[in-house]
Amino acid sequence: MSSVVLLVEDDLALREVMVEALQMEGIVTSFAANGAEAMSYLRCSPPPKLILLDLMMPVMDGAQFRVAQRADPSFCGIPVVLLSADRELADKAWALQVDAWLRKPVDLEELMETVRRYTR
Amino acid sequence: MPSTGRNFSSAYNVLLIEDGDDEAEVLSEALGYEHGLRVLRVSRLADGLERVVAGNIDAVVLDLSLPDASGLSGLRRIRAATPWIPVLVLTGARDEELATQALHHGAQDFLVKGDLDGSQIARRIRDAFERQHYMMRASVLADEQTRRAVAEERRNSWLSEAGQILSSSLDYEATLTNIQRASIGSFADTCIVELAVPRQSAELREPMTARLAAHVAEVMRTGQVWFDEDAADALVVPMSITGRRIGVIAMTFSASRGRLSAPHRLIGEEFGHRAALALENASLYQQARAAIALREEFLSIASHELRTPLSTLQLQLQVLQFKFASTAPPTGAEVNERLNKCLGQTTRVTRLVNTLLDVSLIASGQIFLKLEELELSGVVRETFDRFLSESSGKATALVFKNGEKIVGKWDRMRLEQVVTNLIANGVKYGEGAPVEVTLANEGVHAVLSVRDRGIGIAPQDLGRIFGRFERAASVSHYGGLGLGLYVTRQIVEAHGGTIAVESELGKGSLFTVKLPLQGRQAGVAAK
Repeated sequence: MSSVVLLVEDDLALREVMVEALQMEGIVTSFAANGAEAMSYLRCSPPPKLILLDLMMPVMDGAQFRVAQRADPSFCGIPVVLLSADRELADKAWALQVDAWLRKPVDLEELMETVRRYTR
Repeated sequence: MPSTGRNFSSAYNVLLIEDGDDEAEVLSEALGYEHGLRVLRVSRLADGLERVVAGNIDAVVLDLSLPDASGLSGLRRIRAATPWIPVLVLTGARDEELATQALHHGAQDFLVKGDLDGSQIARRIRDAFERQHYMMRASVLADEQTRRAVAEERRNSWLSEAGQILSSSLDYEATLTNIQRASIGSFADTCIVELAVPRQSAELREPMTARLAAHVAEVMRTGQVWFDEDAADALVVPMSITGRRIGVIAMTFSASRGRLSAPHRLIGEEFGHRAALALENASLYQQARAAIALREEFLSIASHELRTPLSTLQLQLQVLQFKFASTAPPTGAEVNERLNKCLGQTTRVTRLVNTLLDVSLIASGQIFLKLEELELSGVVRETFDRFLSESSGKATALVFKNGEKIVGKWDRMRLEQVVTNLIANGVKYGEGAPVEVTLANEGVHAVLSVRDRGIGIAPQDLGRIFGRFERAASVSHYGGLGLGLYVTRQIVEAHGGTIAVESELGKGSLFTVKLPLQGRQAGVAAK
């Protein structure tokens, strides 16, 4: 079964509970610990319906991932929702031209609603 | 302009312009022989003019009826040619009106032909000379005063203009340029600004002569203005703020500006003072902006660091809530596991909050040490093991090279913090390569070293990594508050110890902490 959501988040504990919560709703979720891992995943796997993207990550951060993703015609159409504690999240979301953003700490219901909207 | 220092007691020359030979002879003899005056006689105005222009004539006695000039025209021409030489006119007995007009046209006196004897004429000439002499002195003094007032006005207006240029920017580099812009042209011909702490390497700084460089160094040291009394072509003024020297200004002046004098020195000193204020303002502004930028960045990072564990905590609790409401409630084991994960996140948040509180304590000088006798290798081992168990998910290999038992007086909790911070940094920036912790006893010091083989630190960043909110690595790639090394250094220094770092980009870093075995007196506040 192919993944519906790709979660890109470097924090292990947050990643675990988010994957669990999404799977509880029947949403198959894969994960990557940084932008570089996410790019490798996209190159080797069927495209997900949605990418949940953290901003502050080692190796390749969220903004760098977004540049790489948009440069590749195979993945540039996948919707992206930013997931961050950044104080200027709205501005960054606009600058990176993502589809939506969720501010940490994330509310479970809000997360589900957003994911459902893009994975229907 | 003739000298003003001469007086009538010395021999002087009277030019007599008189075409009548008899009268000329009488006058010449009367004045020359009887009164010691040297009388030179010419018959025509043209010759007289030629003679006065040639110089060395102290007074002129002019006949108003000459073959080549009559009436006042001769007087006017003589006055125009030599305004500083007193002129006495010779008139006929019935020429009183002409004599009065002559006085109006600048004659010092008039002599009526045949009416005066030699000694009277000599006295009138003396009086005329003296009147002219005093008038001339008064005029010279007035001129000098005017000249000084003009120069003073020019300098004041230059200072005011320079002040405007200096206050036109709060940018440090622009202010440095403005100091030169304000000075060159209007005041000096060249201007070099030397800072006490140079911002450019020596080869990029403006060259100057060895002589000037020596005086620049001296003014930098003494704070006293240097002014070349002999050549009068250079001026070096200090830039000081409340006794602290921030630099000097060296200015040179070409000969065309005239000799440098005391007012130049004063004005230059005042310029140095104003330039110092402008530079200090620019520097404070720059520091304030940097501090604000650093604080903003810190708030962003703190927000990220605190909200990430809160996200996990919130989702864990909401998942639990969701499961309790579902048809298949969680088992006791699952509840226990989730609550443990929640507690892990609260520990993480607590640690972050403690670090923030530590920083606030350190900043207000309220961090106190509770010294007790400890065996260092045991403390490091415990911290090391705890770190290993807490970070079980991370692949980095940790190696502890325990040499010998080292006993000393330290604060246990703070020491654990130092070890934890250094190991955590090694793991964070170690790129998965092993992190080595080593302990050694150097007699009066215990030495703790933590070496990683990760990304390393660029040479230009080495000086600032122990500062508050500072970090060498990119914020977006590496989390953390940027406070670990700052807190670590403060704790080490509060113990009377030191912390140093050696690093190379791409090859890793070695942090070395030296702690005195006897610590510092208990209860001493850290900086």
